[in-house]
Amino acid sequence: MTSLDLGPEPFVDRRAPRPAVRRRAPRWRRVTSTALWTVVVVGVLAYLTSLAVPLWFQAQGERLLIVTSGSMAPQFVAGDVVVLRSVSDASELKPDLVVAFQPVGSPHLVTHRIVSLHLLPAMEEVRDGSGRMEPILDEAGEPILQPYIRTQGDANASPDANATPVERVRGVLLQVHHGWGSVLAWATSAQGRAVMLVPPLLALATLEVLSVLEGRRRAAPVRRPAEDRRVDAFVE
Amino acid sequence: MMDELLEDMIDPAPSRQEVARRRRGWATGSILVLAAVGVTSLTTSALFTDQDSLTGTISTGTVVLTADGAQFTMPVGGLAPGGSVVAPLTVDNAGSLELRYAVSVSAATTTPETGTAGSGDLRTQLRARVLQDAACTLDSSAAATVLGDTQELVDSEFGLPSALTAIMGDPATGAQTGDRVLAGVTGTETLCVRVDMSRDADNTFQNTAAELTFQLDSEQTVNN
Repeated sequence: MTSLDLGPEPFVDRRAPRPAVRRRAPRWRRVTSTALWTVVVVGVLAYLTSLAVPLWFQAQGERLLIVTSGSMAPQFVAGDVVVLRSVSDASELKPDLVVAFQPVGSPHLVTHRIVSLHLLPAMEEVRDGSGRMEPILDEAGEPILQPYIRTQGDANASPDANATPVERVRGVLLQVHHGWGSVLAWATSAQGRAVMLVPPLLALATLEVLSVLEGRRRAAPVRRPAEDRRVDAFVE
Repeated sequence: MMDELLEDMIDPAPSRQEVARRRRGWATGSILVLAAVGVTSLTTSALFTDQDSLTGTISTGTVVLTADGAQFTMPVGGLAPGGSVVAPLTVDNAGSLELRYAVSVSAATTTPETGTAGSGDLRTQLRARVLQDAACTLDSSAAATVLGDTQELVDSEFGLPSALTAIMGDPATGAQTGDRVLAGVTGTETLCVRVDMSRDADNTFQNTAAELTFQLDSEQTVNN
Protein backbone atom coordinates (compact mmCIF):
# COMPACT_ATOMS: atom_id res chain seq x y z
CA MET A 1 0.00 0.00 0.00
CA THR A 2 1.33 3.23 -0.98
CA SER A 3 0.60 6.52 0.47
CA LEU A 4 0.60 9.78 -1.38
CA ASP A 5 2.46 12.51 0.35
CA LEU A 6 1.04 15.77 -0.51
CA GLY A 7 3.50 18.52 -0.10
CA PRO A 8 2.62 21.93 1.13
CA GLU A 9 0.38 23.77 -1.23
CA PRO A 10 2.20 26.22 -3.35
CA PHE A 11 1.92 29.74 -2.29
CA VAL A 12 -0.59 31.50 -4.42
CA ASP A 13 -1.53 35.07 -4.12
CA ARG A 14 -5.25 34.86 -3.64
CA ARG A 15 -5.75 38.56 -3.84
CA ALA A 16 -7.85 39.67 -6.67
CA PRO A 17 -5.71 41.19 -9.38
CA ARG A 18 -5.74 44.89 -9.34
CA PRO A 19 -7.24 46.32 -12.43
CA ALA A 20 -4.59 48.18 -14.39
CA VAL A 21 -5.20 51.82 -14.03
CA ARG A 22 -4.66 53.50 -17.35
CA ARG A 23 -4.20 57.15 -17.31
CA ARG A 24 -6.20 58.72 -20.05
CA ALA A 25 -3.98 60.71 -22.41
CA PRO A 26 -4.60 64.43 -22.48
CA ARG A 27 -6.93 65.76 -25.13
CA TRP A 28 -4.27 67.55 -27.16
CA ARG A 29 -2.32 64.32 -27.30
CA ARG A 30 -5.29 62.34 -28.57
CA VAL A 31 -6.15 64.95 -31.22
CA THR A 32 -2.55 65.12 -32.36
CA SER A 33 -2.31 61.37 -32.56
CA THR A 34 -5.54 61.10 -34.56
CA ALA A 35 -4.45 63.81 -36.96
CA LEU A 36 -1.05 62.22 -37.52
CA TRP A 37 -2.52 58.77 -38.09
CA THR A 38 -5.00 60.33 -40.52
CA VAL A 39 -2.05 61.72 -42.50
CA VAL A 40 -0.51 58.25 -42.54
CA VAL A 41 -3.67 56.50 -43.70
CA VAL A 42 -4.59 59.09 -46.35
CA GLY A 43 -1.07 59.20 -47.79
CA VAL A 44 -0.73 55.43 -47.95
CA LEU A 45 -4.19 54.96 -49.45
CA ALA A 46 -3.49 57.57 -52.11
CA TYR A 47 -0.21 55.92 -52.91
CA LEU A 48 -1.79 52.46 -53.06
CA THR A 49 -4.45 53.79 -55.41
CA SER A 50 -1.82 55.23 -57.74
CA LEU A 51 -0.19 51.81 -57.87
CA ALA A 52 -3.39 49.81 -58.09
CA VAL A 53 -5.08 51.64 -60.96
CA PRO A 54 -2.42 50.90 -63.62
CA LEU A 55 -1.91 47.39 -62.24
CA TRP A 56 -5.62 46.68 -62.37
CA PHE A 57 -5.66 47.49 -66.09
CA GLN A 58 -2.47 45.52 -66.65
CA ALA A 59 -4.01 42.47 -64.98
CA GLN A 60 -6.64 42.55 -67.72
CA GLY A 61 -4.05 42.67 -70.48
CA GLU A 62 -4.39 46.41 -70.96
CA ARG A 63 -2.08 49.35 -70.47
CA LEU A 64 -2.58 52.99 -69.70
CA LEU A 65 -0.97 55.66 -71.80
CA ILE A 66 -0.83 59.26 -70.70
CA VAL A 67 -1.33 61.51 -73.71
CA THR A 68 1.05 64.45 -73.97
CA SER A 69 0.18 65.92 -77.35
CA GLY A 70 -2.92 67.21 -79.05
CA SER A 71 -2.64 65.56 -82.46
CA MET A 72 -5.77 63.49 -81.83
CA ALA A 73 -7.98 66.33 -80.63
CA PRO A 74 -10.88 66.41 -80.04
CA GLN A 75 -11.11 62.67 -79.26
CA PHE A 76 -8.42 63.01 -76.66
CA VAL A 77 -5.98 65.72 -75.73
CA ALA A 78 -2.88 66.19 -73.63
CA GLY A 79 -3.59 65.19 -70.05
CA ASP A 80 -6.01 62.41 -70.95
CA VAL A 81 -5.35 58.73 -70.44
CA VAL A 82 -6.07 56.12 -73.09
CA VAL A 83 -6.49 52.42 -72.40
CA LEU A 84 -4.63 50.23 -74.85
CA ARG A 85 -4.97 46.56 -75.65
CA SER A 86 -1.93 44.88 -77.14
CA VAL A 87 -2.06 43.50 -80.66
CA SER A 88 -0.88 39.99 -81.38
CA ASP A 89 -1.73 39.72 -85.05
CA ALA A 90 -1.75 42.12 -87.97
CA SER A 91 -5.26 41.00 -88.90
CA GLU A 92 -6.55 42.79 -85.78
CA LEU A 93 -5.72 46.11 -87.37
CA LYS A 94 -8.01 47.89 -89.76
CA PRO A 95 -8.61 51.43 -90.95
CA ASP A 96 -10.19 53.88 -88.52
CA LEU A 97 -8.78 52.16 -85.45
CA VAL A 98 -6.66 54.34 -83.18
CA VAL A 99 -3.34 52.73 -82.36
CA ALA A 100 -0.26 53.60 -80.35
CA PHE A 101 2.94 52.83 -82.19
CA GLN A 102 6.62 53.60 -82.20
CA PRO A 103 7.51 55.30 -85.48
CA VAL A 104 10.66 54.24 -87.27
CA GLY A 105 13.58 56.29 -86.03
CA SER A 106 11.83 57.53 -82.92
CA PRO A 107 12.06 56.29 -79.35
CA HIS A 108 8.68 57.83 -78.49
CA LEU A 109 5.15 56.63 -78.96
CA VAL A 110 2.57 58.17 -81.24
CA THR A 111 -1.16 57.54 -80.98
CA HIS A 112 -2.88 58.11 -84.31
CA ARG A 113 -5.69 56.71 -86.43
CA ILE A 114 -5.02 54.10 -89.11
CA VAL A 115 -5.69 55.53 -92.56
CA SER A 116 -4.81 52.49 -94.65
CA LEU A 117 -3.08 49.12 -94.53
CA HIS A 118 -0.37 48.10 -96.97
CA LEU A 119 1.71 45.09 -97.83
CA LEU A 120 5.13 46.22 -98.96
CA PRO A 121 8.00 44.05 -100.13
CA ALA A 122 10.89 43.50 -97.80
CA MET A 123 13.97 45.01 -99.45
CA GLU A 124 17.67 44.46 -99.35
CA GLU A 125 20.54 46.34 -100.91
CA VAL A 126 22.00 44.96 -104.12
CA ARG A 127 25.61 44.00 -103.48
CA ASP A 128 27.03 45.88 -106.44
CA GLY A 129 27.90 49.09 -104.70
CA SER A 130 25.18 51.02 -106.49
CA GLY A 131 23.01 51.36 -103.42
CA ARG A 132 20.00 50.01 -105.29
CA MET A 133 17.41 48.02 -103.37
CA GLU A 134 15.69 44.88 -104.52
CA PRO A 135 12.91 42.78 -103.02
CA ILE A 136 13.78 39.81 -100.87
CA LEU A 137 12.27 36.67 -102.41
CA ASP A 138 10.91 33.62 -100.66
CA GLU A 139 11.59 30.02 -101.67
CA ALA A 140 8.91 30.22 -104.35
CA GLY A 141 10.56 33.26 -105.88
CA GLU A 142 7.84 35.62 -104.71
CA PRO A 143 8.59 38.86 -102.88
CA ILE A 144 8.23 38.64 -99.13
CA LEU A 145 5.53 41.11 -98.15
CA GLN A 146 5.40 42.88 -94.82
CA PRO A 147 2.34 44.59 -93.32
CA TYR A 148 2.47 48.34 -92.76
CA ILE A 149 -0.02 50.93 -91.57
CA ARG A 150 -0.40 54.52 -92.67
CA THR A 151 -1.62 56.77 -89.90
CA GLN A 152 -2.85 60.28 -89.31
CA GLY A 153 -3.68 62.38 -86.30
CA ASP A 154 -7.28 63.60 -86.31
CA ALA A 155 -6.04 67.14 -85.81
CA ASN A 156 -3.42 66.89 -88.56
CA ALA A 157 -4.09 67.98 -92.11
CA SER A 158 -2.23 65.14 -93.76
CA PRO A 159 -1.19 61.56 -93.03
CA ASP A 160 2.09 60.84 -91.30
CA ALA A 161 5.04 60.91 -93.68
CA ASN A 162 6.24 57.41 -92.86
CA ALA A 163 4.33 54.15 -92.90
CA THR A 164 4.90 52.01 -89.82
CA PRO A 165 5.65 48.28 -89.68
CA VAL A 166 2.88 46.47 -87.84
CA GLU A 167 5.39 45.05 -85.35
CA ARG A 168 5.84 48.57 -84.04
CA VAL A 169 2.20 48.86 -82.98
CA ARG A 170 2.02 48.79 -79.20
CA GLY A 171 -1.72 48.68 -78.76
CA VAL A 172 -5.21 49.50 -79.95
CA LEU A 173 -7.22 52.16 -78.19
CA LEU A 174 -10.12 50.86 -76.12
CA GLN A 175 -11.18 53.74 -73.89
CA VAL A 176 -10.37 57.32 -73.12
CA HIS A 177 -10.38 58.73 -69.59
CA HIS A 178 -10.39 62.48 -69.77
CA GLY A 179 -8.29 64.28 -67.21
CA TRP A 180 -6.74 61.19 -65.65
CA GLY A 181 -3.39 61.90 -67.17
CA SER A 182 -2.33 64.84 -65.08
CA VAL A 183 -3.37 63.10 -61.86
CA LEU A 184 -1.68 59.80 -62.71
CA ALA A 185 1.41 61.51 -64.08
CA TRP A 186 1.76 63.46 -60.87
CA ALA A 187 1.02 60.45 -58.68
CA THR A 188 3.66 58.34 -60.41
CA SER A 189 6.27 61.07 -60.52
CA ALA A 190 9.01 61.32 -57.94
CA GLN A 191 7.46 64.51 -56.65
CA GLY A 192 4.01 62.97 -56.34
CA ARG A 193 5.30 59.89 -54.56
CA ALA A 194 7.28 62.05 -52.20
CA VAL A 195 4.21 64.12 -51.43
CA MET A 196 2.21 60.95 -50.70
CA LEU A 197 4.84 59.08 -48.68
CA VAL A 198 7.02 61.62 -46.93
CA PRO A 199 4.23 63.19 -44.80
CA PRO A 200 3.17 59.76 -43.44
CA LEU A 201 6.78 59.00 -42.56
CA LEU A 202 7.13 62.38 -40.87
CA ALA A 203 3.86 61.78 -39.01
CA LEU A 204 5.12 58.42 -37.75
CA ALA A 205 8.40 60.00 -36.70
CA THR A 206 6.49 62.68 -34.81
CA LEU A 207 4.40 60.03 -33.06
CA GLU A 208 7.59 58.25 -32.07
CA VAL A 209 9.14 61.41 -30.69
CA LEU A 210 6.01 62.16 -28.67
CA SER A 211 6.03 58.62 -27.33
CA VAL A 212 9.67 58.87 -26.27
CA LEU A 213 9.06 62.17 -24.52
CA GLU A 214 6.09 60.72 -22.69
CA GLY A 215 8.14 57.70 -21.64
CA ARG A 216 10.87 59.90 -20.20
CA ARG A 217 8.35 61.94 -18.30
CA ARG A 218 6.85 58.76 -16.81
CA ALA A 219 10.26 57.40 -15.86
CA ALA A 220 11.41 60.59 -14.14
CA PRO A 221 12.48 59.83 -10.46
CA VAL A 222 9.88 60.63 -7.84
CA ARG A 223 11.10 63.03 -5.18
CA ARG A 224 11.36 61.05 -1.92
CA PRO A 225 10.69 62.39 1.57
CA ALA A 226 13.64 63.82 3.40
CA GLU A 227 13.74 61.03 6.07
CA ASP A 228 14.10 58.40 3.35
CA ARG A 229 17.09 60.18 1.95
CA ARG A 230 18.53 60.32 5.40
CA VAL A 231 18.17 56.52 5.79
CA ASP A 232 19.79 56.00 2.42
CA ALA A 233 22.65 58.14 3.54
CA PHE A 234 22.97 56.07 6.70
CA VAL A 235 22.96 52.80 4.81
CA GLU A 236 25.68 54.03 2.54
CA MET B 1 -2.51 29.11 -12.69
CA MET B 2 1.19 28.47 -12.29
CA ASP B 3 1.60 28.14 -16.03
CA GLU B 4 0.01 31.51 -16.57
CA LEU B 5 2.25 33.07 -14.00
CA LEU B 6 5.33 31.55 -15.56
CA GLU B 7 4.20 32.65 -18.98
CA ASP B 8 3.68 36.15 -17.70
CA MET B 9 7.14 36.13 -16.20
CA ILE B 10 8.82 34.75 -19.33
CA ASP B 11 6.83 36.67 -21.90
CA PRO B 12 4.92 39.43 -20.20
CA ALA B 13 2.07 41.05 -22.09
CA PRO B 14 3.34 44.08 -23.94
CA SER B 15 2.51 47.43 -22.52
CA ARG B 16 0.28 49.90 -24.30
CA GLN B 17 3.30 51.97 -25.26
CA GLU B 18 5.01 48.93 -26.67
CA VAL B 19 1.97 48.02 -28.78
CA ALA B 20 1.84 51.53 -30.17
CA ARG B 21 5.55 51.47 -30.88
CA ARG B 22 5.21 48.19 -32.77
CA ARG B 23 2.31 49.59 -34.74
CA ARG B 24 4.39 52.59 -35.76
CA GLY B 25 7.26 50.31 -36.70
CA TRP B 26 5.07 48.19 -38.92
CA ALA B 27 3.58 51.26 -40.56
CA THR B 28 7.02 52.73 -41.26
CA GLY B 29 8.29 49.44 -42.67
CA SER B 30 5.22 49.06 -44.85
CA ILE B 31 5.61 52.55 -46.28
CA LEU B 32 9.24 51.91 -47.11
CA VAL B 33 8.31 48.62 -48.80
CA LEU B 34 5.58 50.37 -50.79
CA ALA B 35 8.04 53.03 -51.87
CA ALA B 36 10.39 50.31 -53.11
CA VAL B 37 7.54 48.55 -54.94
CA GLY B 38 6.65 51.80 -56.64
CA VAL B 39 9.96 52.02 -58.45
CA THR B 40 10.02 48.44 -59.72
CA SER B 41 9.29 47.64 -63.33
CA LEU B 42 6.15 45.82 -62.21
CA THR B 43 4.40 49.08 -61.56
CA THR B 44 6.26 51.46 -63.84
CA SER B 45 5.56 49.28 -66.89
CA ALA B 46 1.85 49.41 -66.29
CA LEU B 47 1.67 53.09 -67.04
CA PHE B 48 3.57 55.00 -69.64
CA THR B 49 3.39 58.19 -71.63
CA ASP B 50 3.89 58.88 -75.28
CA GLN B 51 7.14 60.59 -74.34
CA ASP B 52 8.64 57.47 -72.79
CA SER B 53 11.60 55.96 -74.57
CA LEU B 54 10.92 52.43 -75.69
CA THR B 55 13.37 49.78 -76.72
CA GLY B 56 13.22 46.31 -78.15
CA THR B 57 11.91 46.91 -81.65
CA ILE B 58 14.28 46.22 -84.50
CA SER B 59 11.92 46.38 -87.45
CA THR B 60 12.72 49.19 -89.86
CA GLY B 61 11.08 50.77 -92.84
CA THR B 62 12.11 50.69 -96.46
CA VAL B 63 13.24 53.33 -98.92
CA VAL B 64 12.27 52.37 -102.45
CA LEU B 65 12.26 54.92 -105.24
CA THR B 66 10.90 53.91 -108.59
CA ALA B 67 10.99 56.04 -111.71
CA ASP B 68 9.27 55.54 -115.00
CA GLY B 69 9.35 57.66 -118.11
CA ALA B 70 11.89 60.03 -119.65
CA GLN B 71 11.29 58.19 -122.91
CA PHE B 72 11.48 60.84 -125.55
CA THR B 73 9.29 60.61 -128.59
CA MET B 74 11.44 62.15 -131.25
CA PRO B 75 9.85 64.09 -134.08
CA VAL B 76 9.84 62.52 -137.53
CA GLY B 77 13.27 63.00 -139.04
CA GLY B 78 14.86 63.56 -135.68
CA LEU B 79 15.57 66.65 -133.65
CA ALA B 80 16.44 69.68 -135.74
CA PRO B 81 18.43 72.76 -134.63
CA GLY B 82 16.15 74.91 -132.48
CA GLY B 83 13.87 71.97 -131.77
CA SER B 84 12.71 70.62 -128.41
CA VAL B 85 11.37 67.38 -127.04
CA VAL B 86 9.72 66.64 -123.69
CA ALA B 87 9.08 63.46 -121.73
CA PRO B 88 7.31 62.93 -118.43
CA LEU B 89 9.20 61.29 -115.59
CA THR B 90 7.02 59.69 -112.94
CA VAL B 91 8.66 59.17 -109.57
CA ASP B 92 7.05 56.93 -106.93
CA ASN B 93 7.95 56.17 -103.36
CA ALA B 94 7.28 52.45 -103.14
CA GLY B 95 8.88 52.15 -99.70
CA SER B 96 7.40 52.79 -96.30
CA LEU B 97 9.54 55.76 -95.31
CA GLU B 98 9.36 59.31 -96.52
CA LEU B 99 12.29 59.99 -98.82
CA ARG B 100 14.06 62.85 -100.50
CA TYR B 101 15.67 62.47 -103.85
CA ALA B 102 17.95 64.26 -106.24
CA VAL B 103 18.38 63.94 -109.98
CA SER B 104 21.73 63.74 -111.73
CA VAL B 105 22.34 63.73 -115.46
CA SER B 106 25.09 62.59 -117.78
CA ALA B 107 25.33 62.31 -121.53
CA ALA B 108 27.32 60.11 -123.85
CA THR B 109 27.70 60.18 -127.62
CA THR B 110 26.35 57.21 -129.47
CA THR B 111 26.39 56.04 -133.03
CA PRO B 112 23.23 56.70 -135.04
CA GLU B 113 21.34 53.62 -136.06
CA THR B 114 21.50 54.43 -139.78
CA GLY B 115 23.59 56.46 -142.18
CA THR B 116 26.97 58.06 -141.85
CA ALA B 117 27.46 59.72 -138.50
CA GLY B 118 28.26 63.41 -138.37
CA SER B 119 31.53 64.58 -136.86
CA GLY B 120 30.02 66.90 -134.22
CA ASP B 121 29.55 66.07 -130.55
CA LEU B 122 25.83 66.46 -130.15
CA ARG B 123 26.19 66.90 -126.39
CA THR B 124 27.57 70.39 -126.94
CA GLN B 125 24.38 71.45 -128.71
CA LEU B 126 21.83 70.16 -126.20
CA ARG B 127 20.28 71.61 -123.08
CA ALA B 128 18.30 69.53 -120.59
CA ARG B 129 15.91 70.83 -117.99
CA VAL B 130 13.88 69.18 -115.27
CA LEU B 131 10.55 70.94 -114.85
CA GLN B 132 7.68 70.82 -112.42
CA ASP B 133 5.03 70.12 -115.01
CA ALA B 134 2.78 67.07 -114.84
CA ALA B 135 1.14 67.90 -118.18
CA CYS B 136 4.54 67.87 -119.83
CA THR B 137 3.80 69.27 -123.28
CA LEU B 138 5.97 71.65 -125.26
CA ASP B 139 3.58 74.47 -124.51
CA SER B 140 3.13 73.75 -120.80
CA SER B 141 6.81 73.18 -120.23
CA ALA B 142 7.66 76.61 -121.64
CA ALA B 143 6.05 78.25 -118.60
CA ALA B 144 6.79 75.55 -116.00
CA THR B 145 8.88 75.97 -112.89
CA VAL B 146 12.46 74.94 -113.56
CA LEU B 147 13.81 72.48 -111.01
CA GLY B 148 17.12 71.81 -112.71
CA ASP B 149 18.96 73.12 -115.78
CA THR B 150 22.20 71.94 -117.41
CA GLN B 151 22.88 75.55 -118.32
CA GLU B 152 23.93 76.04 -114.71
CA LEU B 153 26.24 73.04 -114.84
CA VAL B 154 28.33 73.85 -117.90
CA ASP B 155 28.34 77.65 -117.80
CA SER B 156 26.89 77.98 -121.26
CA GLU B 157 23.41 77.78 -122.66
CA PHE B 158 24.06 74.45 -124.36
CA GLY B 159 26.18 71.53 -123.37
CA LEU B 160 25.66 68.41 -121.28
CA PRO B 161 28.03 66.96 -118.69
CA SER B 162 29.74 63.74 -119.63
CA ALA B 163 29.87 62.54 -116.03
CA LEU B 164 26.93 62.24 -113.69
CA THR B 165 26.27 65.69 -112.27
CA ALA B 166 23.47 66.75 -109.98
CA ILE B 167 20.96 68.79 -111.92
CA MET B 168 18.24 68.88 -109.26
CA GLY B 169 19.06 68.78 -105.55
CA ASP B 170 22.14 66.99 -104.30
CA PRO B 171 22.60 63.24 -103.82
CA ALA B 172 24.86 63.85 -100.82
CA THR B 173 23.49 62.61 -97.50
CA GLY B 174 21.16 65.06 -95.81
CA ALA B 175 18.77 67.70 -96.98
CA GLN B 176 20.06 70.08 -99.62
CA THR B 177 18.48 72.80 -101.65
CA GLY B 178 16.51 71.39 -104.53
CA ASP B 179 15.94 67.94 -103.06
CA ARG B 180 12.39 66.69 -103.59
CA VAL B 181 10.45 64.91 -100.84
CA LEU B 182 7.92 62.09 -101.29
CA ALA B 183 5.82 60.62 -98.47
CA GLY B 184 6.03 56.92 -97.74
CA VAL B 185 3.92 54.40 -99.68
CA THR B 186 1.76 56.91 -101.51
CA GLY B 187 4.21 59.65 -102.43
CA THR B 188 4.34 60.23 -106.18
CA GLU B 189 4.92 63.06 -108.61
CA THR B 190 5.42 63.57 -112.29
CA LEU B 191 8.25 65.74 -113.48
CA CYS B 192 8.94 66.82 -117.02
CA VAL B 193 12.28 66.52 -118.78
CA ARG B 194 12.79 68.91 -121.66
CA VAL B 195 15.69 68.76 -124.09
CA ASP B 196 16.42 71.65 -126.46
CA MET B 197 18.82 71.69 -129.39
CA SER B 198 20.80 74.80 -130.23
CA ARG B 199 19.55 76.78 -133.14
CA ASP B 200 23.19 77.40 -134.08
CA ALA B 201 24.11 73.75 -134.63
CA ASP B 202 25.81 73.42 -138.01
CA ASN B 203 25.99 70.60 -140.52
CA THR B 204 28.59 68.68 -138.54
CA PHE B 205 25.81 67.70 -136.17
CA GLN B 206 23.69 66.09 -138.82
CA ASN B 207 22.99 62.41 -138.06
CA THR B 208 24.56 62.48 -134.63
CA ALA B 209 23.19 60.97 -131.46
CA ALA B 210 23.58 61.25 -127.71
CA GLU B 211 22.31 59.16 -124.86
CA LEU B 212 21.14 60.99 -121.76
CA THR B 213 21.12 59.23 -118.41
CA PHE B 214 19.08 60.52 -115.52
CA GLN B 215 19.92 59.02 -112.16
CA LEU B 216 17.71 59.45 -109.13
CA ASP B 217 19.31 59.07 -105.70
CA SER B 218 17.06 58.78 -102.68
CA GLU B 219 17.47 58.64 -98.92
CA GLN B 220 15.11 58.52 -96.00
CA THR B 221 14.26 61.75 -94.26
CA VAL B 222 13.78 60.35 -90.78
CA ASN B 223 16.86 60.98 -88.63
CA ASN B 224 18.57 62.33 -91.71
